[in-house]
Amino acid sequence: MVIWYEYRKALQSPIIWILLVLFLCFNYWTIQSRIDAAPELQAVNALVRTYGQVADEQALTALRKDLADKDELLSIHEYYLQAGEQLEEKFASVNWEDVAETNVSMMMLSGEAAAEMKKAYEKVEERASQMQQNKEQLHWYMDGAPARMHSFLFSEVYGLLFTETMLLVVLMTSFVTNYERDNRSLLTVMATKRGKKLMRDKLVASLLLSASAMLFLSAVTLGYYFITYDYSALMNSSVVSAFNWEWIFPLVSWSPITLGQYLIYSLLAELGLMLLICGFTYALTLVIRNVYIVFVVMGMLSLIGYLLPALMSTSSVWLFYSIYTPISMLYSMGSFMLAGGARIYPHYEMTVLLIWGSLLTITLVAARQWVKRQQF
Amino acid sequence: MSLIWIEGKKLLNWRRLILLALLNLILLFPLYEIMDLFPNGRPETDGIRLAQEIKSKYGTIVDEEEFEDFKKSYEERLAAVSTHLSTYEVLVEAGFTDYQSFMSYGGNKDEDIDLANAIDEIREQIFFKERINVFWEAQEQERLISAYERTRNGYIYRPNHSSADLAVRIQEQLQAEGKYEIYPESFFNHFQQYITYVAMMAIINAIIVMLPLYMQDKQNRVEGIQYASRRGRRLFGTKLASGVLSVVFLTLLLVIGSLLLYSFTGNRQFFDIPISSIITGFTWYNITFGQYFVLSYSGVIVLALLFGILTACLSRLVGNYMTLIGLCIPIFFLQNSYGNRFMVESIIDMRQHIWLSPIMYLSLLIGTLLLLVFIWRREGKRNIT
Repeated sequence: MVIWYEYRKALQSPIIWILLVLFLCFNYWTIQSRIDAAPELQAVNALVRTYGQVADEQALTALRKDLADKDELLSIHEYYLQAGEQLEEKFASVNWEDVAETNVSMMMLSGEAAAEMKKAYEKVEERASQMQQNKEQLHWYMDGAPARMHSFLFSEVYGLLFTETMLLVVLMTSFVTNYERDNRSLLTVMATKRGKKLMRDKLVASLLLSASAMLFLSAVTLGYYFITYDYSALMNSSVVSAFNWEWIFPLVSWSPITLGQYLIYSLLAELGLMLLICGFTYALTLVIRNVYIVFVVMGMLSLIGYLLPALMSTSSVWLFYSIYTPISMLYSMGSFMLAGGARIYPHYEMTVLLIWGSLLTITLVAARQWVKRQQF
Repeated sequence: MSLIWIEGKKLLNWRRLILLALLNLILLFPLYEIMDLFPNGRPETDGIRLAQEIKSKYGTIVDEEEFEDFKKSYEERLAAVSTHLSTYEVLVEAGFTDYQSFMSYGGNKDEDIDLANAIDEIREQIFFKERINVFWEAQEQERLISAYERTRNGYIYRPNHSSADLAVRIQEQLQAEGKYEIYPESFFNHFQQYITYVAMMAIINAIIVMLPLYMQDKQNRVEGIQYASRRGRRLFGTKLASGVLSVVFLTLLLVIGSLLLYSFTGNRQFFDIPISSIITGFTWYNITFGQYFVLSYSGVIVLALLFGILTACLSRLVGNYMTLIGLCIPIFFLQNSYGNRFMVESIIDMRQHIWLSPIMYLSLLIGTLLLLVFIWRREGKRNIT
């Protein structure tokens, strides 16, 4: 019951609703900006429905026959036929040692960092040959090169969505946690037996608030996204399909992953991140006791996390460890569970969540001990 | 007067100063990277070297005679290029020892593929392995000369929009001194990028300083005592003055810091070049790069002040920090992603309408002042609850 009262405190403030509406308008506008890609997705859906999940020889022959029979010009399908014919060869011709070399020169790596990168790509190569055996790279998928819809959804839209969620989480958590102090009722509360436990309820309420903010914003945003861009038949397609080849290299995942799984797992990971951020904000508010300073400090910490990889020496393996922060993970959802860039070790997401989850536990315990010794 | 000082000390206490110093330290890192990225890579570095050469030899405005001399130096560079190319046997045999044929060979179907590949390799060797200056310079000088000739032939840039002002401006540009483009645009574009980031930092600082201006009194419940006295009712103005002074102080610190950082680029030497003689330097007024520099910095200071006052007004209006910060977030993001593009980055750019950025500044000013006047008049009869 107390949790519900705490939960309600943030939602009674109109600013949260104003921000939600503003954010949703902005998301709508961003999603709308790629509307040209929608018809192509329809065509790819049709391909999957007619010819099955995999663009193998059988499917391509059937498609070729169908296109020859038809008089009308189906240029998108013809384009996919041509792309599909070259797909297997194109993927097989990638030399992963060269990819590692290119990565080294693009990131200007040297010394042990360069060696580590080359070592990592031996594993990537193994995984790539496994992908070829499973024919994961041959799944029908929206062609990546011109529209870059994968990056659009998982980098641009996700980046926007979770920046907004993060802002709401920090604001609401610090507001709820500091509510009694701001309204000068803390002494009254702390004089009672139940009131002494209030801070615990506030943590639960903040976590619930963060989860609801995230669920609401992402449900509406992604709901609208998938209504606008139809991925219905592609949900079982492998994300690492060579069709989804946006930049200079194809995508490689550490384990087989379909688009549906990618979506669900990435949202779960984001939920974990938001709860982490909520927890850290809560601990900071307990110690700092000022919503304004908490917000600035959280902003500074996010900036540090964001800039950390750029501050690292390009010759040390610490460069690869410096991306193990919630902020780096939040802004690299475009390569969720994939190998690429500085993410050269598998299980990146689990590691980040585990490391920072345990750090959060320590912080919360420490903050609790600190608060216990404070005079009100 | 002493109250202004006391309020200022309250606003910028040592804890906040440390916080702001840390924040600015973090924010300065990307600014340092922007500064450090100039000149960015090969043709840009050579362009700057050429610009220095033009500046020292011909001054800020290059007339016909000097341009002929500049072309002569281009010929000299080509001669040096040919001498270097003559050391390659393949090229001598094929007769490709002059710059033009050396650069343009390859790509056509009727050409000898082996020779094209050999020439490709030599280009790779010269440009990227040996990195010979004269080749890069010749490439860049060719571009500068063609820009000069293009503008001399009357091909001046016409933006997409059309208005009476634009026609007048184009006529004016055709009459202006230094109307022919000859200086590389890299330092001008780099400054626009630099100043846009400085504007973002200034606005962040102004907002963060002003956030607690009235809110901290509200949270500490001292308004009741303040508003019971005659002087206390007028405290609104006093606090605003100390807030504005704090913003001015911090913005000036930031401006000085960013100027110091900018001095490492060495672009001060280009300050007296008219913008119209910079390639793609299309501005509404005939001013020099130095004047543009001052104008941009003034714009940043004005923006910091206006956003500071706006935040102060909001700090009085709303009831708690969450609402206050929640209101400042969309304001900041709108300004940073759209406003600054028109108000700072291309403040007098001909590609946007002549009145666009003045109107944006004016409406921001009028909006802020109206809000301020509304709150100020309310102060005298406000109830404290």
